[in-house]
Amino acid sequence: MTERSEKKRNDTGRVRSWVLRLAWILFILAPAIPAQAHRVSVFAWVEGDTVHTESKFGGGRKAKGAVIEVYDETGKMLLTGKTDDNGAFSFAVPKIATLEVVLKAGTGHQGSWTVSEAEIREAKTGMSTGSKPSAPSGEAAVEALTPPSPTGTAGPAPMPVQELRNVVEEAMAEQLRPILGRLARLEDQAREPDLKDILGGIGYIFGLAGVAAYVAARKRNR
Amino acid sequence: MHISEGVLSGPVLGAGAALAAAGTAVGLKTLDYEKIAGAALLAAGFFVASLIHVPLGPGNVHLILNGIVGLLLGWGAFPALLVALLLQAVLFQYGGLTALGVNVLIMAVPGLVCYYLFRSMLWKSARLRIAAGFGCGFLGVLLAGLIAAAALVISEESFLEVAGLILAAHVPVMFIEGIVSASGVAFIHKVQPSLLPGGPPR
Repeated sequence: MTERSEKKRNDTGRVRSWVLRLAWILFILAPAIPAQAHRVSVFAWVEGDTVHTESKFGGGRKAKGAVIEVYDETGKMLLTGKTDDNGAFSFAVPKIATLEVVLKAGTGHQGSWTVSEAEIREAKTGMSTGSKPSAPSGEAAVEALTPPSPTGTAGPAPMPVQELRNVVEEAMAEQLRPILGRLARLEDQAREPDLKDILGGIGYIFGLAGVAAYVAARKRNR
Repeated sequence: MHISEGVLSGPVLGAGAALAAAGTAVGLKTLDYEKIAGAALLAAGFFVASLIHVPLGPGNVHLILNGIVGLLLGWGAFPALLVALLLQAVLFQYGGLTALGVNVLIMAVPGLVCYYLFRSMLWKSARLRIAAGFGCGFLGVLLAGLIAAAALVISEESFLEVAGLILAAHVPVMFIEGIVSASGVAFIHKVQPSLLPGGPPR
């Protein structure tokens, strides 16, 4: 080989090996880097009279300006809207029924989340106002709470049951709001692909290849 | 670029499934005993590739690798990609199960095109080989985007709009994948040239 062509061969080889090295580095670093769109997902939770939804692409990027459609159990569309810059969209409960929240992020990406009727009812009763008649046990409890006013002096009037109930419920709703959001996010996170899914998939591929090889070998030996 | 459940209409899903089944039948015939291990490796590579991300600007892009899978397997790309896409759908929820046929077409047809277009270029010179490798990666992503847009055109508005969106988002992927495919082809040629289709002209 002439000197010049040998140098050229070495140079190409060097460039090639650097490209390969770079590719390997990317391959190794890859799992650390969050993903882009293969699928899009939406999750929802109910607080009182409002349903909150959050939409994102697989891996965490928020789905902004995506269309949300809400259907009832018969498949009728009840309302539609768009997610904001945080991928969030909230709406008042349109109907006490099992709702299907569908997210349409365009170019073939779609996801959905079911809000059960039970969840809506539970959230609603938590925020009930005035119209419920107080149970006898409630009254007795309130009477036990307010200290007996000393004779002669007028102490503060005992709070009526319903007002006390409202105060407690408001305080609880405030505390529960972030927790409900976190719970929904946790349920949603369980849907992300993890290592065992990857290993399982690779295992299946090689398992199928093994079966195929067996069949092919038998065909050959016949 | 996987199409989710519930996006496409029945006829599109049915046509996609039928065409994918036909392609798979042809592919299974070409996959003889020697080729199965390679097909499994490539299917596993494709399966994992969508988890490989390169940070780019505000977001990230992921590799697809359908071009090189097609170049190396030819019609065998259909069964290999069918298995990989099925597992992605079941395990990762990438793409809907009813849309599996369409998703297979989106990935395998560009691979097949790359096979026919580039296989003769691999044996003429090193430069042509690298160009062919780049072309496989680039064209693989480009055609996949076009087929996805074609499938969506029936449920969405206009082909040009949807195609434009998909392709614009994947331009960086086309180039990155071209580079990855080129280095892949060069590497394979160095270590195991028998894996490449065709062969040196005798």
